Amino acid sequence: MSLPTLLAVLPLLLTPASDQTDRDTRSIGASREGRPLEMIVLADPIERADERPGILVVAGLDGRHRSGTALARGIAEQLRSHHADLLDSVTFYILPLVNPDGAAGSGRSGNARVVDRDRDGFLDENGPSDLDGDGHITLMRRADPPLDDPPTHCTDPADPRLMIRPDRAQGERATHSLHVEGLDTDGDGLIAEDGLEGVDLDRNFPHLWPEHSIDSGPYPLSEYETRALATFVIEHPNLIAAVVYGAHDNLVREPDSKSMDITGRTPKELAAEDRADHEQIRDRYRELVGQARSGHAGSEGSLHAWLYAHRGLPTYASTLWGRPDPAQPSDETTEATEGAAEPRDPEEAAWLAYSDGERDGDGFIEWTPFEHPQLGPVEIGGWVPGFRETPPEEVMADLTERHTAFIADLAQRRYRLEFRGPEIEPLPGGLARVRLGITNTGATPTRSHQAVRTRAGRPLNVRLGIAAERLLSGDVVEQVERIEPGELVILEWTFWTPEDERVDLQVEDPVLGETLLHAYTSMPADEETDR
Amino acid sequence: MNRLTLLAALAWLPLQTVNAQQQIDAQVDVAWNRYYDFDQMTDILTRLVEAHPELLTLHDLGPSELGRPLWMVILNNPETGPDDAKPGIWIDGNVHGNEIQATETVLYSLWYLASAYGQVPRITELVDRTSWYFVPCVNPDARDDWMKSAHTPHSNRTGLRPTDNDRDGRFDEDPPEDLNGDGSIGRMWKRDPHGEWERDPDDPRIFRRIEGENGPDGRMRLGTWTPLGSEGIDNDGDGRINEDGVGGYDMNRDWPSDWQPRHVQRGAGDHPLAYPETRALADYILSRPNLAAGQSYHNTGGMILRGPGANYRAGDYPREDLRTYEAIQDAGVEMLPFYDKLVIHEDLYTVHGGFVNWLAEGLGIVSFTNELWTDKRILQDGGRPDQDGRMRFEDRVLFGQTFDDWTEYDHPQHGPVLIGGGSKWWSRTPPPFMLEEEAHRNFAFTAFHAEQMPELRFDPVQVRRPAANHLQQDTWEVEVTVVNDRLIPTRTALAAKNRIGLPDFISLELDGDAEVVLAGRVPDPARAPWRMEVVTDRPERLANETGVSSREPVTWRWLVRSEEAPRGRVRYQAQKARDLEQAFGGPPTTADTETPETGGPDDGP
Repeated sequence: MSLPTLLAVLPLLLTPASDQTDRDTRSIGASREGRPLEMIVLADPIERADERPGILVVAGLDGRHRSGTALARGIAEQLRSHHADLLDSVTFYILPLVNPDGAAGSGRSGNARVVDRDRDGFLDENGPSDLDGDGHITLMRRADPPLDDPPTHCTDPADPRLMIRPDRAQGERATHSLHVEGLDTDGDGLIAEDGLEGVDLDRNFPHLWPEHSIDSGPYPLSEYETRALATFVIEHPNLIAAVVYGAHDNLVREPDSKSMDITGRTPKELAAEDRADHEQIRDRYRELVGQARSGHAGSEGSLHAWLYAHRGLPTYASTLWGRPDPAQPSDETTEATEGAAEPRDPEEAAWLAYSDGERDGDGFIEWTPFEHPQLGPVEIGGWVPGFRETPPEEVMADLTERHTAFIADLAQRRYRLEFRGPEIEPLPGGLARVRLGITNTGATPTRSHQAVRTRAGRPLNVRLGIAAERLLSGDVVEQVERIEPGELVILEWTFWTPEDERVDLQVEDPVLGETLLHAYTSMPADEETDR
Repeated sequence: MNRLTLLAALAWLPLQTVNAQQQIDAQVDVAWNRYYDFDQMTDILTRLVEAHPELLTLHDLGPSELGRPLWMVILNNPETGPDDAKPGIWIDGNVHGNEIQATETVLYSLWYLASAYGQVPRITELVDRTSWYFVPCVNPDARDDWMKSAHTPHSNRTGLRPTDNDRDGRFDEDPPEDLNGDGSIGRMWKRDPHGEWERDPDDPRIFRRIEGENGPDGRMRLGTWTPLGSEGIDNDGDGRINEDGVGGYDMNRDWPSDWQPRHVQRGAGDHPLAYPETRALADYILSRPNLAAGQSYHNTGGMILRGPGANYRAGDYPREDLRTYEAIQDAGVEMLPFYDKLVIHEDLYTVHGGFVNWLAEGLGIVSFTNELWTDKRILQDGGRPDQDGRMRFEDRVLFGQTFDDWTEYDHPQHGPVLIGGGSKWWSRTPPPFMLEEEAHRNFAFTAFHAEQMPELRFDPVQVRRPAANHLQQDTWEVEVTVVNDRLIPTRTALAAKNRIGLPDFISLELDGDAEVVLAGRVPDPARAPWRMEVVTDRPERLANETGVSSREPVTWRWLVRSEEAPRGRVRYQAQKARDLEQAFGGPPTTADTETPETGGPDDGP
């Protein structure tokens, strides 16, 4: 077969870094094996990056998800070249490869922690092996296996390449056993049961962390990579949104906005109150990226789930690509397939049709007889690992452009604040009232409802320069938790003012920084324009 | 017994025989009727470790948030094996900075064990088969601050990382302070003609709340005082007093099992193990899968607490484990005056991410939190004293040392106020003269707890021809039973259910040409001794996920093909017990005959 598509995107990964890239790249930590976790920071000037609204883009939690890494790097290039106008008001933090240890060498999904997957006291003693030397770990199917290896699957009548669970009610019976390609090298009766898998970094974050799961780490953020990323997030209160490329999707698929976790106080996926805001962005994604389909893995312990549920950060999880719609079949084909068996799993069949019809069969390795030293005659074949996650090379440029457009749009939709006033209303008896209006002129709220709930970040603070004992109403520090797009929030204080005085207001926004405003209890004539 | 121990034992001989009494002679003198600051604690630890180099090693798991060492002492006799090859007990205290007697209790335990080793046979025997991990003070920054600065009994529970409690972008900017300079953070009261409180005419130290009382004229009574909270001013001018003090988090809500964020669990950090103290302890504990028991001392209330911390985890503790927990708690209730056996979420309050919950639920370690000291000990009737009773104790037993008289103070925000009340020593710590007893009894409880850590032995190895084997003269059975003589199983049912750590392993090594055919557990040796759970893959080494409990010895059998009676060794490995190895069948015929016979029990009748 031809070179797999993931090799095709390698040149993108290997493109030498330009000087600009060097200048924009910083390390936010190191992996378990000491590789730097390189983040591309786009801001102009770079020194002011952390003072502006930030958008975090993450890929490569799975060491084999190379298309995600390539995409993130491509997005960085495009933002730099096509959206330079954004960079003096928004900062993009792009982490293309959270798992450099997994990506090193032939690549594995997890990181470099040694995990005793079968808990036998021996480490990584019996991993999968590429018995047929085709460069892939696929599956072995064994027809009519002996009773110590009972059959579990049969071939799909619609396409004998696909293995299905038999529908016994339909008279089907199991004919094959299925195994991961490999040997039983340690004589425990299990094939390929303990290899170099490491910890799945996208299951090592605190929200719904799967305790007692062999691949989720000994505790949340136990891994160098996840810890460094979490620390970065916590130390950057200027973040306003995040986009995570990987195995999860909350844009093509509808996220669950109804279920709460076991405490009843944290949404499993999306708070009902945040649903409308999420849908706005989702619609932009569908329009700009045009992704029709996605897969979605369970998101327990995932980065995107944690960013939203515990940090309150609006987070968009994308599988970056989905299988395109098939070309319209001609009438002849339709006739020819009439009467043929319906495939058991339409999704599997559609992938196979896509591989056959549009990818020269690159996605599926035909079952090929192999004499297994322990099992005897088997066939090796099946899906090419990573095929579904890896778009064909020729669409990468277009995809990168589309995703960049989405991220640039996200940046454009950021909240912005406009102030009205402060307005002074003199009251008789040495009293005055001051009012300040704050409007969100952006297209998104200042914070998610979930951020308000978790109290993970600071609200907007407005500090009045009047001593507390002179205040009849209003607090020296007023806190505004959230401002909707277009909403006008009015803050009001009443205070003793023994003489004409200047009233200072300091607005402290956790993302936009400080704004100093003032007014006079008795306004000088030329003051209006002086502010 | 090594030479040093022998000498030590000889030296004490006259004392024990001639002058036998309960007291032990200690190489390091420590007064246990007083409390120690961090440097004094460090000094005690250093002297103990120097005096007992054969047993104690000092480790620094720190630094703490403010850079102090986080001392851990391992007590282990290397002559009987390295610490991680024996069942271990973890004992720590004072994770809440104000709960200070926890540290003295841990120090006392360490001191007693090291001193009594070689003098008290029961202790010597216990120490020789176990290892002990002591962290006397998990929160050294806050403890030291408590000892040296003005505080209430309740401050500071937190560690000392600056934290923005009121989310105004400023950190720790408005703590309480000792305005009247009496060394305490007291309470503040203001005269108020419509107050709900009045001072007791017989003892004006006491403020009493008036609740729906009619006065002599038939009108509802009003008081003359209103409470203003803890002593302090509005440091940052925001109109609020004491709203952002030092720190502001709870390191006993920071552990990975059932950790929940701040909006669910007050005091939680940004994520599990968010502080250097908790992270260092967790990483160390994970490096010691031999830990089988845990105790974390707190104050106050006289409680022996076990998990779970939340009601939805109640079903996570299997019934077999609860029997173990409750048996140990029952012993504690007898040993500790007025202590109760309690479940955290049922009897105290809901705790997400608690330390002993992580030990028990995350790691399968049988663990408790003791809440040291109860005010039921103040009077002799076993009840909780009312305010008058507490004052009588204050006056007659403590000579007024833990109460600060009310003093007038001109407060910048409130005007004239009264400041005073119980000092930081008032309610949560035993008076010094009762500290030693509190420490000893709690130490004795952990000694009982430690004694219950698994201790395994083999019943004699049986080598015989299978009863049903009529044809194949070269087939033999090798059978062995593993017995646990202690209450705690090698694997809790919770650990087995959740596949925590490694299962136990039993293995057979044969000499010569003998070959294992198959092997397996004998599930019911009494009623169906011929039946086995047959394993043919890698039968030389069998995993035992459920471990060995005291109630259920476990029997395994191997079928072996061999010309003669097979010889070899059986070995049992458990992470939370010492490994067992037993030779059987006599020495190998081909080996040097000088190899000493290690005592094959099957040689017997």
